[in-house]
Amino acid sequence: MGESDLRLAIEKFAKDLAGKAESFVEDISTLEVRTFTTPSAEITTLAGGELDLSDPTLARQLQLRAYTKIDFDCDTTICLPVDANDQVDRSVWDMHQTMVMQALKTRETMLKSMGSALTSALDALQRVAG
Amino acid sequence: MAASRFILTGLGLSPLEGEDPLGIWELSASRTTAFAATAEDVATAEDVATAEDVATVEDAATTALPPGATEQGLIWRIELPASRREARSELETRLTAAKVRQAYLETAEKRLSDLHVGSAYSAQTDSAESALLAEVMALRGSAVAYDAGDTGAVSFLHLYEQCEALVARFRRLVQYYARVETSVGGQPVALTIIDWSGDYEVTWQDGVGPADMALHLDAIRLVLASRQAWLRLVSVVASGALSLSIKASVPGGQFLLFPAVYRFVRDVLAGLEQVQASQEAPG
Repeated sequence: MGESDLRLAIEKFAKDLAGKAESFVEDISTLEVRTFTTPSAEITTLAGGELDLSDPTLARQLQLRAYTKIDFDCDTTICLPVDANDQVDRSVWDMHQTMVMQALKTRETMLKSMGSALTSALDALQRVAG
Repeated sequence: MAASRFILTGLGLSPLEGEDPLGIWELSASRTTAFAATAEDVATAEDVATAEDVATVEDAATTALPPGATEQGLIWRIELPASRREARSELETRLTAAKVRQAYLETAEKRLSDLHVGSAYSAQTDSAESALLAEVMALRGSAVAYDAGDTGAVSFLHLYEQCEALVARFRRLVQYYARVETSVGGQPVALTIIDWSGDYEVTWQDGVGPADMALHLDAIRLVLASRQAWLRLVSVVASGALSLSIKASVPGGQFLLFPAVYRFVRDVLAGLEQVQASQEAPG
């Protein structure tokens, strides 16, 4: 056992990583950030997953307050949160903007990680071939 | 004051394997969470995981899963004390620790690449290097044919199992990105789901204040830094085992050497930790 089990585990890991890298490249064309709020009584039973608002139970619990979509060519779609007087709700908007900035940083880190993983893989291949 | 907890649930570990090699998170097979999962979570997890994965996870987490329970994704749960100042300080400490571990991994990688297999390993002064080279030499000389029941064989098999568990754990890190839940003083504050394309879905409790928002943001940063450090650990071990196997001309060495290199990296991390602790100790 030992070695062959470990070899299998590493192969699976590499396969998963390659699959994720592929889907990452496909999905990277847009960045979306959604900000929801929920009453405090509801948050403890909040559903996770995709937070699909077409689910009526979820839709009752969650309010989509702000949305940003940034395309790869930097075209940006923003839905602003407004209060009862149609004024921009600053507290929600600030929260949302902070998260958009964080998401952009995350995306940058992901790109660097993927680049570094690919460089390491190529380097390793060259060493094996050489 | 209630103590902080930093718990990662869903890696499918048995309690014996529940150790974070970087010493930042408490790994738990328990599925209890402040934010209850729904059927949708379960369906999503099932979509991603293969039947084989589920079987593996079920095997590993039998002790924690209730009968009929189904697998779900990774949940990074951060429970912070009611004192915002203490909560912020706890998060900063962990975040610094994650960054320090990443720096240690760079050191470990450098020491691995500086290793000279040709030289007599007695000349390598550091014990981590000596131990690793001894294993390389043993493998090169095919001297690993331990007798059944031999202490060395048992220890080596145990290390293989640890490595296999580690790789299985990291497969789940790859399968799921991050779901971060933050609570302060026992009250849930926010949850954020980050997917593999970098999209964010953030849900805040109504009326959350700026201080709690900042805490959740720091919690997200900690999770991302931890993920990064863990993936770096795998990459250091995998590339180290590969390059050492080439240097030492050990056929199939990238797999055979994986446990030895993993042990080396852990030894280096522990050594650096010790140095730092002694530097910080008063007097």
